[in-house]
Formats: sequence, C-alpha cells, structure tokens
Amino acid sequence: MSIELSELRLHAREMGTLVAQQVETAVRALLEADGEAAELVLRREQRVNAWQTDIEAESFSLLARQAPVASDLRTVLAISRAVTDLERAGDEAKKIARFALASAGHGVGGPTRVIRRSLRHMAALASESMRVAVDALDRGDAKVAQEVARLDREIDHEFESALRQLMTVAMERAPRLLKPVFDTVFALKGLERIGDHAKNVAEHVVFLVSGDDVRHAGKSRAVPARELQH
Amino acid sequence: MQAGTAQASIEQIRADVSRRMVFDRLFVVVGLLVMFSALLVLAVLFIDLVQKGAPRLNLEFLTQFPSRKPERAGILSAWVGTSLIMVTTAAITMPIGVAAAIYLEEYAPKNWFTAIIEINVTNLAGVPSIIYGLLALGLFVYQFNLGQTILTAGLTLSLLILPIVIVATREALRAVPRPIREAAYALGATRWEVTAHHVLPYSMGGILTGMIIGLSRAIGETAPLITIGALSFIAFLPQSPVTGEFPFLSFAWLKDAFTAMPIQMFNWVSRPDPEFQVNAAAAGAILLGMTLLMNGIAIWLRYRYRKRINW
Amino acid sequence: MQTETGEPAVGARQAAPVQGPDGRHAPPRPTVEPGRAQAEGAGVVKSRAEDLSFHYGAVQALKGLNIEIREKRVTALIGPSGCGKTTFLRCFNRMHDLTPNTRYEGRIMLYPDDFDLVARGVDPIEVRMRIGMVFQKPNPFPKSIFENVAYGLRVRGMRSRVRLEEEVEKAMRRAAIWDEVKDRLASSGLSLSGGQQQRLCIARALATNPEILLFDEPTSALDPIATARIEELIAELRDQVTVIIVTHNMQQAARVSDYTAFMYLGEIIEFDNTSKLFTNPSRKATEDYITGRYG
Repeated sequence: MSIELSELRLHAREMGTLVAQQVETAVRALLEADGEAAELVLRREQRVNAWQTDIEAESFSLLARQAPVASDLRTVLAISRAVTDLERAGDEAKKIARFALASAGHGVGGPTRVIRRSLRHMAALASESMRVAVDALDRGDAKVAQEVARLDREIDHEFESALRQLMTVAMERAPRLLKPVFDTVFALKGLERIGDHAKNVAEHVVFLVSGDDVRHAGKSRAVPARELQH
Repeated sequence: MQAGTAQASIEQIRADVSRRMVFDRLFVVVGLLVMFSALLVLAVLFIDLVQKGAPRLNLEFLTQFPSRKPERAGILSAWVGTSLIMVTTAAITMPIGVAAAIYLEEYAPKNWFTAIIEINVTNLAGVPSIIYGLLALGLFVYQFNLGQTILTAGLTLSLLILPIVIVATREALRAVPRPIREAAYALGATRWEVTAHHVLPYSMGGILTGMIIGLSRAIGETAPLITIGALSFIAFLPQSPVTGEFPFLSFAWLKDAFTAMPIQMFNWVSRPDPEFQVNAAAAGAILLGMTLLMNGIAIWLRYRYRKRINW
Repeated sequence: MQTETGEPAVGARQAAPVQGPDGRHAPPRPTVEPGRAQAEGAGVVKSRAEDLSFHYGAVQALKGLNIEIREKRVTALIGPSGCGKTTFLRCFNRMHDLTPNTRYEGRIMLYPDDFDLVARGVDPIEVRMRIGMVFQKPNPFPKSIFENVAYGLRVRGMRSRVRLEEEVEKAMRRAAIWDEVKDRLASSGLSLSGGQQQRLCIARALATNPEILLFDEPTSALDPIATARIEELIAELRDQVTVIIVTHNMQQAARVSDYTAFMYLGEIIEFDNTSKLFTNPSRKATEDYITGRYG
C-alpha cells in the first residue's frame, strides 16, 4: 500500500504544481495583456480536469482495496478533498485567462486601470497562496497552512477595497462602462476565490496531519447536526 | 530448440520416477508377503487343529464332563469355568483399571512420584505370568484364605491384565482432545464433572477395546491358574449364578473349585493315549475360536464408537 | 469562506496516557463518541485489571497491565503474535490454572461486588461460573445440539426439562442459530458446519448468562461468510453482554468493538475508543502496527 500511497501523493503534487502554474500564467496574462499566455492556460485546463478524474479514481480504488487506517486514511481523504479545490481553482484561472484574452484586445484600459494596483496585489497574493498551499499538501506541513490563511485574508481585504473603487467608478462615469466594470469584478472575484480554494487546501492539510476537521472552526459547533432545528 | 530440451527433461523425469517407483512397489510386495505368511501360519494352525479335532467337534463335546474315556470326555466344566473366570476378571479389572488410569491421566501431579508409578505400571506388563501365579498362591490362596476358587483365579488374572487395561485406558483418555476439556471447564465444570460427563463417555470405545484385548490375553493363560491350583478333572459345575428364589442372583459360585480350557487341554495333551490328542485339538480349535470371537467384538466396538465420535 | 476568528485550528486533541512520577501509566479515559447511541450502562466499569502480571514458570508474559472494561460494550485486544493478548484474556476465566507452574500477580476486579478474580483464595470454578468463553476452533461436545447448549445449565443444577428447553431456545436465538437447527436438536453437534458449530458454542456460553463473555479469535478458523455472521452476532450482543474479544484481524477489531487496546510484548501500549485509535492513534507504535508498517 505504501507504494500506491506514494504514487497518489506524487500525482497530487503534480496536479497541484500544474494548478499553481495555471494561476500564475493566468495572472500574468491579465496584468501584461499577454494573449499567448492566456491561450496556454485555456489549452492546459483539460489536463487539470483529467488529473482530478484520475486522482479521484485512484483514491477510490485505494480505499476499496486497501482499507487504509489512521494517517494513511487521512492522507487519502485529504488528497481527495484537496483535489476538488484544486480543480475549481484551475477553473477560476481559466475564467481569468478568458477575461484577459477579451480585455487584451482593447488594452489594459478602462476600469482595470483604475484598480491596477489592487489587481496586481491580489494577483500576486492568489498566486503565492496557491503555491504555498500545494507545497503544504506535498510536505504535510500544517504550520504553513496558517500562512495560507493569512494570505487569503489579505486577498479578501484587497478585494473589498478594489470593489469599493470600482463602484465609485461605475457611479461617477457613464453607464457605458458597466459591462467592463462587471467583467472586472468577476475577474477580481475569481482571484478572491482562488485564495479561498488555497485556504481550503490548507484546511485539508491540517486534517491530514492531525485528524482535526477545521473547515468551519470558529463558528458555533457545540451542537451535533441532528439536533439543530430546521 | 526450447521444445527439444523440454521434451528431453520430461523423459528424464519419467525414467527417474519409474526407477524410484521400483522400490515403492517392491516394498508393497514384501509387505504383502510377510503379512500373508503370518496369516498363513495362523490359518494352517487353525485348520490343523480343526482337522485333528474334527471327530470330536460336536455338541456332546461341549456338554460332557471330562472322563477317562476319550470318546466321552467333554469340555463342559472347562468352558463354563473359563467363562466364569473371564466374567470375574472383567468385573474386577474394569473399575480398578479405569480408576487408576483416570487418576494417572487427570489427577496425578506431574512429579517424580507419578513418574515412578507410571514406569512400574508399564513394566508390570512384562512380568512372566507364572510370577503372578506364585504371588496369588501366597497372597490370595493362603494369606487371605480365599482358597483355590474362581474368585482367586479372577483376582490373579486381573493382576495380570491390569497393566494392559490401564495403558489402553490412558491412551483412550488422552485421545479426548484438549479443546473439549477446556470447553467443559470454561462452563464451570469441576474436574470430576469434566471426567465423568465428557472424558469417560467419549473414551468408552477405547476403554472397552482395551478391556477385551486384556481378556483375550487372559483367556489363554495357563501357568498362573495351575499355580493357584486349578483342577483338571472335575465332573461338576460351579453353582449357578441364577437361583430360583429371591434375590435370584447368587455369588456362591465364586467360592467353587474350577477348571479352565487351557488347563484341560494341557491335561489331555499330557496323556499317552493318542485319542486324547484329538480331544486336545478340538478344545484348542474351540479356544482359538473364542479368542478370535472376542477380538472380533473388540474391533466391532471400536468401529461403532469411532463412527459416532470423529474429532 | 471566512471564519470569525480567522484561524484554522492547528494541533490535535491528544488523549495521551497520563504518566505518573514512577513511570507507570494510568489508563487513559476514552472520550465518548459523538454520534454513537448511548445505551443503558454505558460508561459503567464492569471490570478493571490493576497491575496485572502473569508468569509461565520463569517467563513473565504480562507486565503490569492496567485497563478498564466497560459494561455491555465490546473491548478488543489487538497486537502481533506473542504480545500476550490471549494470555491476558485467559486470565479473566482462570484458564491458566489448568497449566502447572503459572502465577498471577496483581488484581482483576469484577464489579459491582469488588471481586478479585485472580486472588489466591478464589476458586477458579467460581470465576468460570460467572465468565464464559468462546474458543478459536469451534469445540462443541460430541453430544446432541440440545445437550451441548444445556450442559452449562445442568452443571448449575437445572433439572426441569421445561426450563431447560426454554433457556436453550433463548440462548440459541440470541446466538442466531435457533432457526437453522430447531428441527434437529437431537442430532449431533458435530454434524453442523464450521460456522454453525461456532454459533452453537456461542449459544452454549450464552445459556448461562455470563457477566463477561470472552472471545478468543472466534473467527480465525472460519470462512468469510461465517466470519461476517459472527461479527454481526457480536455487534448484536453489544448492549446485552460485556464482551472482550482477542483478534489478530485488525479490520475485525475496527468493525465490531467500541474500545480497542493495542498490546505489545506483554504491555498495553494504547487503549482508546476504537474509532479514535483507528483514525488518529496517539502512539507511533500503534500507528505502525495498524497501518501494517510494523512486521
């Protein structure tokens, strides 16, 4: 079983690395209006999905045949869950690449120029958070998970700030900027979501290491689900 | 090329196997030869006895008392005596032998004292039977004043076959698997309950077999019986065990004088008159028949018990 | 997705055994499982081993064991061959008394009457009247099926045929063997299949209403289907009987037990709720054993 487990972890690392790359490339495509980079991301999206299918199938088979317990079991479950988040992050990267492609035509102008600083910052943060999360998963390092949570918080702050700026722009300028504004918002949202997915992966790493389920920690959890009314 | 070498090795293997099988088959042949030789000897002996004794093998032979005239001498008192002695021996040996075996197997602690007892029990099986006769003469006949009776004969032969019965019983007890005892103990049974409810009943087949093997040894013992004074010319029977009045069972026959089959045979063989040889042969054939019958019963019993209890 | 406090909680809740100043370990108290139905008597201690040691002649097979057995729950003992789990199990019904040259030290307390099973003056027969056992290889008596189950009752003096029949039926129903053999109670116990024989042995042990029922690797001689049926049976017995089961099949321990103790070289290395021990054991030795990395 340890051979299969090692292979599973290897595959998870490869997928994670690929997704982190996708994020970085999509972000670069957006910031530097690089059409080729955007197309690269779109082409590679298929591989991300294929990885998800393969890894899920591998995990399933391992669970059925080997009946792993303790840390082996936690590893398989954590990887299976993390892979879902990785695939979604890859999806977001794809959407950002599309946006980059669309706005590359008319240059980095319009609303994107207004929030340029925030955009750069968020992009860098999203990229880094995904990279760190993937690394944490590979090394089984729960401490690094805290770092990812911090990065995600920064992304959220930056997102709110950018959103406020955009709303000002939308209200002040003419409504003809509405579509570009919306598109920009979605791009920003995509980056924000990438940060969330990275944080989820970090939570799965914590589960892998200690068995603690910290996905909804902090909210009231004293009562078991079946006793909650409605 | 591959097929060629494979073919060669198959032939090699065949040659090798058939060479080795020669010894295998040879042993079968030797074994069969030896076995049939032994059976042949027994058969020849039996047929010889039957042939020699044929003139006297009839009902009268079985129902007549010994007499000076060979054509009128029968073995009535002899086979009745032998039968009564066997019954007595069995009645004495069974409880003592089984109890001793139970003690040694289930209760005795594994120490040097028990080891000495066990060694001696096995050794006693090899003691010449005439020694038992001398012992019985001194102890039973004179010391206890039991006289030259069926009771004495029974006691003497009991001593003789006790080691056989004890060893056979121990083997039978040992054959009861440990898990069965553990199951009984685990239910809260005492050692006696385990022995009485489980070990004894399940080993009964082996115990009975051992008993009968002992008896078929005893049936042919002549030396001890002569030593304790078996007569060879008695024209009367011991008293009947069944009486017409209450309690319908009498033990007076234990105190009677007796004779036995081997004694009678010995007596006739020693006579100069060749007619008596015929009688002796006939008696021998009957004695052999009785022995084979007892062994047959033992085998049948073992078969029946083994069918019911297969561990 | 935002958390209010913002921090993912890092670090495990470890129920590490408490180590006293003299180096001995107090038995860790297993936390009660969320989601597990709480039956009557849950949490009540039925038996406790206190510094129990056991010697075969000069060899010490068990070294100062401390463990609590909960009433009407299934406790499993796992560990590699030779770790002492069967030796420990057989202390509970004094089976070692049948072997010469053995010695108990320490105590095994039985509650609620504070009765020390292994005390010098205690008659092993008395212990076995209260504690039953099912063995590894099915060992029914070569008697009829009815007499097999009735034997324990007869030993306890029950004579009435009516009562015997009642109790025998009850026990055989509990052991899930009644329906299969109710029409042939007079046939030999040995005429049954291996799995049926084992259930017969379980009925035989249940008939006397033992306070604790000991299972010594009950399915290791059986095929997978018979094994599954007996595991079901043991799961059903939970809430009715206190069970201690020794098994070398870890998945079996994981499936049927509430509490599991991992033993190694005559000591208890870890003792905890089964689901805790199998998802996140506290000791590395336990982790190595159950994931198969040890031997």
